[in-house]
Amino acid sequence: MDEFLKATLLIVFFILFSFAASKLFVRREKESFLYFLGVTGEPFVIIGILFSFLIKRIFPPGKALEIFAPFMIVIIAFVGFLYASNFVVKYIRGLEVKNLIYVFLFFALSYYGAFFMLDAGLKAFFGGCTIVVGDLKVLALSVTLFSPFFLYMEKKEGDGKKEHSLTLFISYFSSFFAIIFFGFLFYRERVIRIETFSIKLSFLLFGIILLLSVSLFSLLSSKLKREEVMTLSIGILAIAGGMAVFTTTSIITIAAVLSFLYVNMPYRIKEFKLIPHLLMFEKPVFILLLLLTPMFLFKVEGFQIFKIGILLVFIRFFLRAIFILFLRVLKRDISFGALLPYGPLPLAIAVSYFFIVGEGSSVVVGSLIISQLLGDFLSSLYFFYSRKRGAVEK
Amino acid sequence: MIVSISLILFALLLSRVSFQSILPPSGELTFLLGLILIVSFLVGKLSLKIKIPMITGFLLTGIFLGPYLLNIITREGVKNFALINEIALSIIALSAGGELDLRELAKKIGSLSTIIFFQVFMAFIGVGLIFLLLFKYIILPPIVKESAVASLSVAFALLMGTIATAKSPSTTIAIIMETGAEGNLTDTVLAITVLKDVVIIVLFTLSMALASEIALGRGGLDISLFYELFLEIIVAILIGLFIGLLLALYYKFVNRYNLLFLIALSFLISAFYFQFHFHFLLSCMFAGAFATNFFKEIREDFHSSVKEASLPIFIIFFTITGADLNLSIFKKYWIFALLYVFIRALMTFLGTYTGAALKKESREVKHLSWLGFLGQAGLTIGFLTIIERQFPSGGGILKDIALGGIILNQIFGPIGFKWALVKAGEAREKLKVSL
Repeated sequence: MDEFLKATLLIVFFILFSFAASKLFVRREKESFLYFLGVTGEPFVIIGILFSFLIKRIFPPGKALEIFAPFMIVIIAFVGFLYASNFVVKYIRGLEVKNLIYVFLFFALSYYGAFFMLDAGLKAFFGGCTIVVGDLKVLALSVTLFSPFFLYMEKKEGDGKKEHSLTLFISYFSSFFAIIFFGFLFYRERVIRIETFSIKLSFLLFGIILLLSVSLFSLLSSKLKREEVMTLSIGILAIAGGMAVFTTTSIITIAAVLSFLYVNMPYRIKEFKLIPHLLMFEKPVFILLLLLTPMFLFKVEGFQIFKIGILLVFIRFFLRAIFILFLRVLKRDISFGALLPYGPLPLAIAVSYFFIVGEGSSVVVGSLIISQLLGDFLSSLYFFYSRKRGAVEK
Repeated sequence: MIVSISLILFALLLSRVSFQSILPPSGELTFLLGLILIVSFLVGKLSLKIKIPMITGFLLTGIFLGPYLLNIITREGVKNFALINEIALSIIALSAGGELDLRELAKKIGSLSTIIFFQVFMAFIGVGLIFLLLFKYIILPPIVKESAVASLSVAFALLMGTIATAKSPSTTIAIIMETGAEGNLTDTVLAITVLKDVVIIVLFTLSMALASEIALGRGGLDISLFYELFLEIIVAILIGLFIGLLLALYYKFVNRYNLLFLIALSFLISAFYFQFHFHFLLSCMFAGAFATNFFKEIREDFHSSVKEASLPIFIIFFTITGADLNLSIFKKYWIFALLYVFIRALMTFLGTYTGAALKKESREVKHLSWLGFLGQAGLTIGFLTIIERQFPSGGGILKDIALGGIILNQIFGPIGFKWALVKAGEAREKLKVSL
């Protein structure tokens, strides 16, 4: 049988299998462990790993990537766009300054804390690890990110509770900062040293202006239908993603900047509801992201990514516990449960990193897959037992 | 418009600068995808304003962006989109089948087969005879040996006649979806489109065998050919039934992320097609018809997911089809191409009118339905490629003339069909802007 056909059969099988699995998880009892595991998206990563192993046995190296890379570029751009769409300046203005300070504190503690702890931890406990500074930065950034699935749960269940709004506030802001910070980090490191910097920069700016004009156009056409809105959005995201790859900059950041500018345009017309339309595709896109990320894993020493992944889970847990304790001292409380899960965002950053540095990103991709698997498993356990205990107490 | 022009300029600039990116092909493909979606959409919207179908706008965008004009979508780019194009075609064919109501079809089968018979017969004879004279006295003498002119003329006339009977199902379904048309004319055109596909495949296979026998002294019509043909159609139907069953079961039991499922399924069909070269259009149409007629409860969900996917799919499909049209060919053989288009249109009208009049069809079907059969695209181009391969001496000319005609048919065919649907009062004005 032809390689291409075999791979296609596998892809379709896995996609169908994943959808069927997602249905299975949804049907589960709301408070069961499997239900929580399903919400984290963990089963899809496992299916993705199996899928990646199989497909790499069939395809010659690089061939699989040729097929999946364009899809992944749009997916990553979508994630960035969706995340940043929460940042409507009009609402942000009304928020307490104190909360913003908490966000900065959290971000700084998580990022710098994780960076130094990872560095020290790897040197102290796992002397044999070969990791570059860029990888360390991305791994540290992953500690500042949150799972959108659990944010949704918190939002739904925590209406009106002050601690929940603080959790959401920190989650949104920290993730947004991380996405923007990620872009600047590698823009400075990679692009500025390239000889064609000025050309690339001008292209980038020109592109953003064009994309904005496109968005503006779509905004002004208030009577667009849902399919038309979706088509334009895919087009915009594909252009943004394609340009990011051209200029070796972060796809997720460009999409996030675009989204931020888009949601804050002064000409927004009420009838035009892009974000609710995009939200309809949130779950399937996240599922595809989780399924396809393991494809971006290349030759790496398996044990190394395990070591880093496990260390990362503990560092993340430790830093967040410190932050929660600090808030409790200040008599502010945030939901511990919502801070724990990983979700697809760290993986989106990892793949975006792949499109900047290429196969050298494997350590980051691999470590984040491991930490996502372990972290989300522990989060599901936490949710399961905490809800169970709550139910008994009631 | 300004946005489109600036995007095109930007793309032109990008295509002239060579980037040393780590993954240029995927970046380029993604960028082109975005460019096609946005520019074609905007041009499509603009074309609605001047009362022409959106798909004509998509085709024109493809022609302008394509390798023969601006070269933003390069030949390599067109090739890279082959898979996406096949996926799009599968979904279009699935939706064409899904629109069919088999019970209604059974009631009208007599009328439909009469119209198909006359349509095919007239187009075949009319175009065939005229081109027999043209090939024999004008086109072939300067380029082939004198001794071969007579036999090649007959063979090519046979093939040209066959090519004239072919039409583009994707164009028909796209216009029907764009206008949201419903009614007798729409149903008749759609049903003929699906059924005629089988007739055309049979006719082409027979003509190829006969033409090869006449011109090359090989091939010929023996019983094994009929057997193979029969087998091919049965296989296509069986594959269609299997796909239809898969589709129905998914919609019935899972019914989540239907759009993604549809894309995944089309991906699978395309991969099978690339491997086994079965008549996948036929299979997809059967699949759609089977799923929506035997599992009626899924009909609504199926149609809504197809509708959701239709706009980007039509944009990509028709833009790439436009980009693939070689305009320089038209420049070379424009007079023959025009003649081909004119005779084909006339014969299609006469055939449709005769068939419809004999079966006492409505006035709309008699006078307007022929406009639904003018568009020609993928299937016809596929046939021409086979002809060129089989007849290296002179086959290229036949291909070029027919391709010139296809360019015109594909641009003006959709305009005519949309006009017919509006004239018949079957196009729903409210849905006009939404594919």
